[in-house]
Amino acid sequence: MTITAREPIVAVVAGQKKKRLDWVPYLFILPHLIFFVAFAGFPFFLGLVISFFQYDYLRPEANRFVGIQNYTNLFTPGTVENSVFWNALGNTGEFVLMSVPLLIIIPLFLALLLNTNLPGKNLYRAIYFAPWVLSSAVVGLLGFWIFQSQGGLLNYFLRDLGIGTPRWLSSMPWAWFSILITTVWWTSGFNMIIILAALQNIPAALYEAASIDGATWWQRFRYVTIPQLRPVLVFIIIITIIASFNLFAQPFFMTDSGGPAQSGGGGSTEPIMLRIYNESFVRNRMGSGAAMAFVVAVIMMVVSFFNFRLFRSRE
Amino acid sequence: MLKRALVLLVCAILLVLSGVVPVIAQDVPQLPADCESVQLEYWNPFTGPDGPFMGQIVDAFNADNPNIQVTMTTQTEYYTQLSTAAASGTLPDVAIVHADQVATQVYRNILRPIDTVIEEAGIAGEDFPEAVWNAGEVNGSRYSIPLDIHPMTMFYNADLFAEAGLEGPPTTAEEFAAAAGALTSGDNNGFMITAGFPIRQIFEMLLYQYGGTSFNEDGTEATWNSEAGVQAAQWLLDAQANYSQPNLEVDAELNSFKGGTVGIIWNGIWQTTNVTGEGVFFNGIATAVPQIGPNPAVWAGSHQLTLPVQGDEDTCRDAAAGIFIRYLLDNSLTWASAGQLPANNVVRESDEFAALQPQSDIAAGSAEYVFFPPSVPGITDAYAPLDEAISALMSGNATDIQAELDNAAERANQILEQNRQTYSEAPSN
Amino acid sequence: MASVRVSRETAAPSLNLRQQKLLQRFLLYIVLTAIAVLIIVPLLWGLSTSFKPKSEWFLPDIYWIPRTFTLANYQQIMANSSLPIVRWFLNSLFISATVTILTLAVDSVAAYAYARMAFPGRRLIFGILLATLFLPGIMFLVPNFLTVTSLGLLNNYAGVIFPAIAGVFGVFFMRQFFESLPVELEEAAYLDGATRFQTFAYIALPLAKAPLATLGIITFLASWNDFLWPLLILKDRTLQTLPPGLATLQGSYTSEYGQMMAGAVITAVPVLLLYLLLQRYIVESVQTTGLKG
Repeated sequence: MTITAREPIVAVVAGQKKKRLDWVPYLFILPHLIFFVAFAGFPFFLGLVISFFQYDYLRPEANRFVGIQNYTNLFTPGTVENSVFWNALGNTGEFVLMSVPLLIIIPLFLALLLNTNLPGKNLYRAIYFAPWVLSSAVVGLLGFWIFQSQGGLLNYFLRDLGIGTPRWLSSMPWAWFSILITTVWWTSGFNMIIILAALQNIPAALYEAASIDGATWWQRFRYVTIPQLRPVLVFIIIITIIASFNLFAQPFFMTDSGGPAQSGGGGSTEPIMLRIYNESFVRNRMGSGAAMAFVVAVIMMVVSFFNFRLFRSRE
Repeated sequence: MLKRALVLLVCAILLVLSGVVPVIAQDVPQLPADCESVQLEYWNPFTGPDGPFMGQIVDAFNADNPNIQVTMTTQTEYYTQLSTAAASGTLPDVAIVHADQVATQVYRNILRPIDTVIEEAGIAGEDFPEAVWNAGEVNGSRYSIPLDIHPMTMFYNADLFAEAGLEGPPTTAEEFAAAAGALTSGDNNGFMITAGFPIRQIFEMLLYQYGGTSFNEDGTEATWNSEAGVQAAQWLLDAQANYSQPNLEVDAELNSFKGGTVGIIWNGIWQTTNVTGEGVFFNGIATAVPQIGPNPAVWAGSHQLTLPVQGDEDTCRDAAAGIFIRYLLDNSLTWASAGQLPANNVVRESDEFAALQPQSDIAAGSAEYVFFPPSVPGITDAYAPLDEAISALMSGNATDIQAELDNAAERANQILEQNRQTYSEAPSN
Repeated sequence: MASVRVSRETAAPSLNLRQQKLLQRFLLYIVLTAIAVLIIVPLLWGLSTSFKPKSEWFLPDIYWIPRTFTLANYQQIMANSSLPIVRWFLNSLFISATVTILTLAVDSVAAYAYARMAFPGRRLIFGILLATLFLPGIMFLVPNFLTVTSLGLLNNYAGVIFPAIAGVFGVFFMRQFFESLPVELEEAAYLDGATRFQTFAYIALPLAKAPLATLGIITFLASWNDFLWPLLILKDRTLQTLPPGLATLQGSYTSEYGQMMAGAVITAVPVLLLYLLLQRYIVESVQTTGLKG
């Protein structure tokens, strides 16, 4: 099983009548492609154009071509954009590195636990999934309440144990810790059901064969489950990286938009998406915001490309 | 004739029933004779508990003016909403804009001048405190009329005050130190400040009290890294060490105050319903902030009434908007009961307002002393470095006050310079 | 499964297989319940707060059961004439359901072609789709707003629905599944003279119930909780969806915890019900294919 396509079945048939173009596959992809071109492809190029302008859609009189100025600002030390952009990008990168392993291992563990015929399993599945139905604002408020210092849930329980507690939301590294726990709580159920769906598609015969051969639990996990899950795990790792890269709401609501503040400026948990949002919609510098987004996009693509390569070369 | 009299009678009854009685009723403007019925769209950012109070005034206005019907819409993410409405040509006829946002919205072609409209509606600058009135003037033209002032306010736990044998709220630095000191014992904090919002606003207030300013007069340079700025930050750090707890997260002072373990907090007047009256289980009281430095100064925001840009010219609509704005000002007493101070002097000095507690107490100690940033576009952007600097100092991540303020001022100056380039074209309206 | 190993090591040799199985189950239940409690505690607090008056939102001690039980938070939402919550609910339901159905239809058809058919440009087109998966969503905000405005879809459900269908997540997700299916069935049908659409609709799609249910939940939820885009596109109060609508409960400076939580209960319960409904399908599809966990 690989994430690249196996040899398609129609290749043989199509090969026989090489001369005429087979238009049926295009009919299959056309409906999606129409929406994709209109609302993803075209906007992409529009965004690219905007990134070379000083741009605000409400001030056509002031829109002017600035060349690569918006990009050079990001790479020139001492500009306002430079320090805040790289600080925020570094924060988001840190969060991706910390969160992705947790958001794979914990849901995998939960899915393995629940991949049984245990009575009541549906109830547990529903409970584990439940936090994911909440909107980001509600999750942010709940996260804030759990970790806040004045009668928050965590300190309420720890108080009885008689241990001193850090300021979970306003000191480092605890602010990250709080955001991480909240994220795991919120999104693990989502990854869990995807893994669970894949686990249930593994033919039982494979496990039976392994059992007959006297495989231990670990051996079955290592040599049946993991290889069978590989495509789904690759998929989950990729979408989790993307989701973590888009971190926004948790610091926005929990750490006062990315605090604690550092000496000389910049917040310790300020994510890059918040920075881009502020640049584009609070400061209304949409050209500069678009340039930031493209730099992030390029970095994400490089990261993901290496991910793909990594998983492919392992096989 | 009879029909008209009947309508008037019904209106009078409704007016009495709705409990909205204008304080100043003389020379109320009228809709021109050739105007039939006018529909007005009115937008405001009054999410949360404030909205219903404003809705009450609008309902009363509609009953009072059968030929003008106002539809009120409360928007969240307000300035994004205004901006996308402007892009699609669907701006409302009347809109609330915060004082420090007026210039930005003017330069973004969202607002149009209001001079002629208010002249016809009989609204004049001498009826408002100078600072809040000046916030509506951009580039030599008037774009907004102040509706209210929402100042920094002191909230205190009267039960804890009584236990400590304190009489009344402190009004001077000495009284404040005595009270906060007396209230600080055991698990209780006499005065609590955080490292998050609104700590920068509190710093700014002290900065002005010590004789400093945040920006120079034309808004081209940040000036908070003055001696007054260092004094203000030092006072905050001392207060944190003496009465509060180190490095608290945003809202910690509110939550702790609501828990009954804090004597005094400073926050916006908008917290009144949250931390006094039915919002708490003890006797929580709101009053004016004390004067710590040598000069009286109070941080404040202000909601201002504006006329967004319209595609067409319509004298009837403009006249109706003028009448509506005038009505909101005249009836800002109802709005004051939502927990704001009326900007209009006549309303604020009326007997009816004097009877409204705690608003009139707060007004007495602050309305005349409020300050606002210069009316230049993008000025709020330049506060971001100051927010970070004060927050870093209060959380202990920075210790050198002067260096931190200098660094923040330097970054703010860069932002101001960028804004001058971005907004180099004068607004087209 | 994790507990299986533990119990095998600790169980006394005298235990017969049945007893051993019972012990395994017991340990498994303990682990599952402990995790469930960790997950559910914040939810319970949110639920409890939605029934508390303002003065009890923050107290030094935690009260799981409100000291004063009140429905005021719900009443303020339901009885406020400027909050047409039933209308918002129906709007949300219509938009999310339409987005989900269209996404499932459009994406599974496209995914099948990318998984099973050879055509010039396949690798290129799919490569482009894949690449956009990694683009931060925020970069489409301004350009898409301009696009939707110029298409005249502002203040129109279509302005919210159409961009949601442009996503490539579902195509990627379904393609992954179709590729994991054994190809023999489809080949047989195809050689028997079925058209490719018939092969897709009658052979491949019925096997895809579990991934379709999963994708359905994901798509529905993303649309149901979307805040910023409907806020930008749907100006009319009566066209709004729940998340931006309920956001007007939140003061600009104050956190109205009780009403926020009441709003969350109102929004979350229907989605949980939907999940429970679809969960059956996931289980069912496992049974019909004769697989056991």
